[in-house]
Amino acid sequence: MAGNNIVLRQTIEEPLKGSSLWRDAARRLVHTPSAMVGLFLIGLFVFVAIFAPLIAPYDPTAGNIIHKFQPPSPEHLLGTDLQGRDILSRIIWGARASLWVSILSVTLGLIFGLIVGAIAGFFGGWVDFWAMRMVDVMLSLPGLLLTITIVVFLGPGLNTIAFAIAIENVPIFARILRSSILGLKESDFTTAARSIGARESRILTNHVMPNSLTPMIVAATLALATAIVDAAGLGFLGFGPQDPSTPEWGTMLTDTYRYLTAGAGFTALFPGIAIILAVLGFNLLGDGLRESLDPRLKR
Amino acid sequence: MTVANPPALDLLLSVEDLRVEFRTGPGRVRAVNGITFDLVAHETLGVVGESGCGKSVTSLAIMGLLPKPAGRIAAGKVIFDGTDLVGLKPEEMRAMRGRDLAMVFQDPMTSLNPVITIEEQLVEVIRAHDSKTSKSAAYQRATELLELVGIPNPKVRLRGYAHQLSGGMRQRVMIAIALALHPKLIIADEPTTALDVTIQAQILELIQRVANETGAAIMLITHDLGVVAGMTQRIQVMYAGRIVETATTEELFAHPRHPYTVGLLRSIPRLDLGDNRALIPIDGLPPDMTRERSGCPFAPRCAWAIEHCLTEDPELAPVTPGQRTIAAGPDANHRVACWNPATDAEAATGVPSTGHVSAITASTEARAAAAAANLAEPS
Repeated sequence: MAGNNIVLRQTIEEPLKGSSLWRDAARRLVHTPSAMVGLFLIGLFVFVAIFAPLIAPYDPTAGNIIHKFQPPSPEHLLGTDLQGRDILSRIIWGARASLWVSILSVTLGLIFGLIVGAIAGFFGGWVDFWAMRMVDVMLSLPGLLLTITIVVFLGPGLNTIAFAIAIENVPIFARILRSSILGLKESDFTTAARSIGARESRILTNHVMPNSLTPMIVAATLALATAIVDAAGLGFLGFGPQDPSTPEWGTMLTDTYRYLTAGAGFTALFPGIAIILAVLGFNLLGDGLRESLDPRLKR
Repeated sequence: MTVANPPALDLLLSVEDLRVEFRTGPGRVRAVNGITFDLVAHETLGVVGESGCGKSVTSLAIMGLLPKPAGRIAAGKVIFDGTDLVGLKPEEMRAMRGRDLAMVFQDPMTSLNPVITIEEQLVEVIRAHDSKTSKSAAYQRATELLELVGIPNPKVRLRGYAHQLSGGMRQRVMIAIALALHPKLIIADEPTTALDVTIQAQILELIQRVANETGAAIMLITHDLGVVAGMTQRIQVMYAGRIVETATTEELFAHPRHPYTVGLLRSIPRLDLGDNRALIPIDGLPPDMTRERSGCPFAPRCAWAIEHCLTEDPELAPVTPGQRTIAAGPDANHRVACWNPATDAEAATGVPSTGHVSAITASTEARAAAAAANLAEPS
């Protein structure tokens, strides 16, 4: 009898051990192949960016003009650009710029977006009204136009690009957080918490905030992808690093697009592929996160 | 109307002429239209009615949980243990919720927070009212509560999350949370509607058992007469935001008087009567609550309706004329709001005796008008 009891307990305890919501989500994520591909691409991107000095075969800024526009060869795996610089090395170093801009812009955007969204969602009323009208105004401006204006105003460079993209992200994050807070404020479990006399402050910190994080995680991941494209776009338009020899993916496209028809297509192709792969990685992971964090898919 | 109670019974809750309104786009919805009822300590009251009759709104109004800013108490008093809850400051009301009155909600699937552990949610209620309670004492209490509501391995379950529990288990946890501070009144709003039938019986049995053990009064809100039949002492039938009939459970099932109650009873199969009578549905829809109307709100759907029903709204009054009103407790008398109540014979067949011509059928114009009024603004 006692023995039976113990066995029963073990079988019940087993599946519960350490099984939390986040762990469940992680398990679902691991079983999503596309998300794993995304994670691999992101991992590669981050690894390359961090260890650029160690893995880049050549100095990305030094080139020999005599060797310009060399097609891919064992010596220069992805060929050389118009100044004879090794394209592979420039792409590897360029990952740093893209990673820096995307992380900085999303972090800044998240900080301000969360503040605006949280204030609008929590306080409601006229605070909410005016915050959301500001958000509407910002969203009605074409994104690229807004970022270009900001960059022109503040001067080109990676940090101003990141700041401009952050400004573009603020209304998006604010709106997502506000809408999920509004939904959660009226959800059954906050009503249930209210019905047992929980304080409003506790309801906000324990019930509303943790639940509104999941859409923010997804939005932030997807915003990283957009930031890479935007940064490359601004770089392409000439708002990138002021020192033209600094490797940046978008700037690399600008340098070479005039020679595309002159048989040097690979000089634009490879940076383009790098941009696509990095963006694809974040998008795949974002989609996977969306699905694995979705409470409706939880049993 | 004089409402008196035998002195031996402690009056726990006294709702007086409660009116609740909701602001909506086209106008105000009068969800609760002046209801008056009492509840004594340890009593189990069933509140029955179809969707939209104001059952849930009544309970939210008592708890001070009406959705803001749309809903508000337009008039009336909710006197709980000598305090009028309607006038309380939000902080005073918050302090009472959970400690003095608690609520069990309809859907256990969504009433627990998915991202924090069961332990946090149980300890939350214990410490929300007495922050001096140590964490270990609160944890100990949480374990006892889960044991009380019949959850095996409480210590393991406390570490778990809502999604790891079945619907029935979650409702048990909700009941444990409601019970945590020994409230004097537990309002259970359709606690079994979202559960399957076998679990329903277990949960009802559990609510009844914990009510007995803790001495809490229960207000059980449901649309299912079968649910209240077995476990309440008294039933109150609501229609269109008012109480149309109230009696002890036995009396109500044996001698329903209001045509709506008769309709409800005749629209569910009865195994205990051992016959195979055809079920009689109640025709039509509940009235549009945004418009003022004269007469009895049920009249447009009522086979018993007489001319009087269309002009004047009947008051809730004892079935036996001249009887003193006893609003609550085991001796509560049978009261009905109807000008032409059904007789026992009519209640048994579910239709008015031959010879009665419904005022509605007679004045088809009135019926058409009422129907048009209902259809004009579908809610």
